[in-house]
Amino acid sequence: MSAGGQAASLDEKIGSGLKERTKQALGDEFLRKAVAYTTDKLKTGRLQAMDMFGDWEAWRDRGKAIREHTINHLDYYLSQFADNVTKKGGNVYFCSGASDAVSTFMEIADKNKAKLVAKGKSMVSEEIHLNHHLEERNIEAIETDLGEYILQLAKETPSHLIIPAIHKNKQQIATLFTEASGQHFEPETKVLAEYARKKLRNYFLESDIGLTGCNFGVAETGSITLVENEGNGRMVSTLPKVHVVVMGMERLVPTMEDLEVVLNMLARSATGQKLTTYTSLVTGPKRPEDLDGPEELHVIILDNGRSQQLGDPIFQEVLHCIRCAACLNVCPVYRHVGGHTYGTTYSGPIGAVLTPLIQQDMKEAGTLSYASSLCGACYEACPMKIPLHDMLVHLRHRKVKMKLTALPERVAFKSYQTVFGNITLFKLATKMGYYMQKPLVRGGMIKSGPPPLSGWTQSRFLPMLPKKSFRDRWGDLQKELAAKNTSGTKAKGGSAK
Amino acid sequence: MRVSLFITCLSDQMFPEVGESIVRILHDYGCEVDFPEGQTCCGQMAFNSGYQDEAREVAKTLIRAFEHSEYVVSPSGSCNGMIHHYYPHLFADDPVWKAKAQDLIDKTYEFSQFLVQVLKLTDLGAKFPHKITYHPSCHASRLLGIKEEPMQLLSNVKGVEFVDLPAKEDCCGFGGTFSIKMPDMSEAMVCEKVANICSTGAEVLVGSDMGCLMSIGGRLNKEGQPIRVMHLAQLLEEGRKA
Amino acid sequence: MSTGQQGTMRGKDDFMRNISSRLGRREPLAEAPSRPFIGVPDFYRDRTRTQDELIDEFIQSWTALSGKTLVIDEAEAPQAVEAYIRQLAGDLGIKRISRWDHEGLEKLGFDQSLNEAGIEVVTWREGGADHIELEGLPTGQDGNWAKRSHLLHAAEQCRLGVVWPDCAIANTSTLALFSQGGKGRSVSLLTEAIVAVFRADQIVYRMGEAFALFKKQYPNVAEMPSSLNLITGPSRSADIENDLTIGIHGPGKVHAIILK
Repeated sequence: MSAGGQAASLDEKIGSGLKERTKQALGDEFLRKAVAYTTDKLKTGRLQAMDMFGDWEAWRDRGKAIREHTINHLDYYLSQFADNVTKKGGNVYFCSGASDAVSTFMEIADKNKAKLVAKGKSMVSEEIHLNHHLEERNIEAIETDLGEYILQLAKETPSHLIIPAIHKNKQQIATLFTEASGQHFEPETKVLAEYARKKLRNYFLESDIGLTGCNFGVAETGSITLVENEGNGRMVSTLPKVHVVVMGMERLVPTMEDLEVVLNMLARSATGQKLTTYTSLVTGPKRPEDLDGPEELHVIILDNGRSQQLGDPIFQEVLHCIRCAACLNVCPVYRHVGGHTYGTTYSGPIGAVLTPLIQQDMKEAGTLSYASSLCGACYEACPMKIPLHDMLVHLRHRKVKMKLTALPERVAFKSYQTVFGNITLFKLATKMGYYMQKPLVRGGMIKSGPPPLSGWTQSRFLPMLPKKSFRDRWGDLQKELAAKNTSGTKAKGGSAK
Repeated sequence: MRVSLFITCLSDQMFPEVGESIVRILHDYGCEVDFPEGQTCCGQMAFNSGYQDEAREVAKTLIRAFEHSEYVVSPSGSCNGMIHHYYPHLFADDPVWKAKAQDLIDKTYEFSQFLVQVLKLTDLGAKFPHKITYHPSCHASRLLGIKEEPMQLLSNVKGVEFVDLPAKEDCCGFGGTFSIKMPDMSEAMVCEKVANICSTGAEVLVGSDMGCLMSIGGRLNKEGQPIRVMHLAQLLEEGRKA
Repeated sequence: MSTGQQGTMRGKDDFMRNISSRLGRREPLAEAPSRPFIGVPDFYRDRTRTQDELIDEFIQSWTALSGKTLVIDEAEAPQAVEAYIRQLAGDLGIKRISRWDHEGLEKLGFDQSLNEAGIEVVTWREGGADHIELEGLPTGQDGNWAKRSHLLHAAEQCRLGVVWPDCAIANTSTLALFSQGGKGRSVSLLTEAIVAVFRADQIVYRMGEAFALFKKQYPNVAEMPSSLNLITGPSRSADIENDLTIGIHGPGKVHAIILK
């Protein structure tokens, strides 16, 4: 099965397959170690880079303000951007959905009789399952980011936004390279990387089309900003005669001054680098006096559910995301289960929020909102201050409103409202609780129980309810304090007035 | 100074001794402590599960119960986080209740926050000659910004040997209904938390949220780890008697 | 000079109308919205550094990324740069290098002496590789690559590239290359190593100053180079078990020669 096909079939079971995938991931020791190791490293790097930069909170406020301003005036800036791209001789295609974007790409490919496409890293191309469609048309697409190339050989999808093959080890990679090339490889990073360099160089030279994403479009110049460490992004946007960009419609900043802010924040948040190795601003195809560079530039701008978030008081901010993956690297759930468990193109906290929104699928994708303990680490790490933890709660609310939660759960929370909303019933119910727990208690603890209690007891004991709750003890406590008052015991620290 | 105890449903029913410790300490420092009987729960359990309408009704009981209080103090950063962070959203469309909610927000403090910020107390003259570590709960530190207060209070306890908890900012895996809805994820998280706690060699784990402590304690018990789990208020009260 | 022709646009009107209606507007916004702020926070914008501090900061950061630096007196530059390149080419066993067609590099005049030392120089201009005999093409005679220019073919076979950045950014140790015409992108991309030569007074503190220079040099979008390359250290990847690999697609060895 192709990588694209795998992703497409996963989409249908995002929610219902979540628990099964979680179990699988948790049983994979290598995966868990690799993800924990890498995310720890990225997290530490980010904290150090933030420290060195100084006053990170001021940067966050500025970054958020810039993104907010851009999205609030997206019609203006997107129009300005597109006009400037065409002014420079680039072609712009606005596409409302994935299929629209795919067919636009095919049109460009057909016109150029393309047989080979070299791809830089692009999450949007994953989002629209472009590889799958290219395969159907017998157009060979080669992933040239090292991590993506490894996944392509393995017929898998990325499990991290910026370290796509985070879950693969050297041995597995050596085996993949051995199978693909027919020559034998030892699991040594240097040797494997050297092979990839040589092999992929030929693809850069031979490809009909170079395809990239776009980290930031600059409205005032019509520039496509590409951010990367390997140089493959520069290769595919320099060597093939045709450069096609696929980008989300929200990935803009108004000016180059604003670009300075987001670029500095992106690198530091993503990998802890001061700046990624290559930051390239592509402004139009090659000029007449240029002796290299593509002759054609095509920019496909994708909506695909994004505009649905505009004007939404709660979710519009999700469009501020700059895809740094800082939220993945701090998320305790991601840390243990990795990216594939989410079953979607975008994983981690941002994926759990973004996917149901842009796919407009609360039933399956909406279930990802439960894959969070709402600890807020994602929000704390987000350079654009997107309140992902709040959004997760609001997605759950949306699921409830659409009656997509289980009937017993709905009944349980209705009863909760009735009982906890009425002090008399509350007291009665909690008294009953004490007696009802008795069959389950062993040695002062509840060590196992029926569902949903079993969810707790599979990993923890539960202390039994004491005979007297605090409110039952309040009378005695008051007497004790009154007695203290008369005996004149006072605190050493004095009194508070 | 009049202080009303917001016990939280969890501590009321499962950990009444935490409330007793808080009341005794506040009383010793001259606070006139009362316990409004009408209180049940802040509504967080329902809110975080997506049941906002149900949460709103329960939240109203809490607002009503503390309507006449001067200060409200609770043993939980999480429940206070619910009030501070989500009540404005919950009552956004109802000006009357929104104002009442704001009144509650303005006077509600978490225990350590109240001692340090309002009573200006950081040294309670407690003695506790044990090796301890501290788990800072997510909602206290991230939603309410309570990071320094518990540390200030603990640093003045005599005889304490404090060991920093590795990866202390990582969630313990409780997350309310998360622990029941996503038991496998939750288990992986609490196991790592417990492994980190054990690696410190501490005899006592201290925290400021009984939800986290119930979860971590439940895992420690299941693993048979001889580590005592205490709320900060319990440690301070015990230390003052010593 | 022609600046190329206008590109095409498809689907814009409907797309914009949808966005503006979602944002609560009847018509797409046609006038630039007012900006209460722009760019970096003031405390960062207002930082100043002396030239020596800028040099130090650049070197510190560049070296941390495994880059090498040489600071020399401008008067000694012609000999020193030539010697440096010759040494480097010797160390790496390099017989062919490419360089920008740039006034500063022309003045250094190292082509001939390198030639005499057995090192061929490809200059990025029409006919700049006419003296080069190719060693065959990596992808053979039939494909797309075979149809490309001799200059490109030759540049692809150079293992060292020499450029003169338009400026350098101290804060991140970044070379800023406004690539166009004789300042070809390929020279800083296709080789295994690059040598960047620039004057100390070309070092600015932060990226924004480099962008300001770019905009000052090209006030009209129509005149802007098609590529602005910021290069911060060697090509790298951490995609195999988070094991840092240097020189994955682009140059893995980066050298900066600063003329004082």
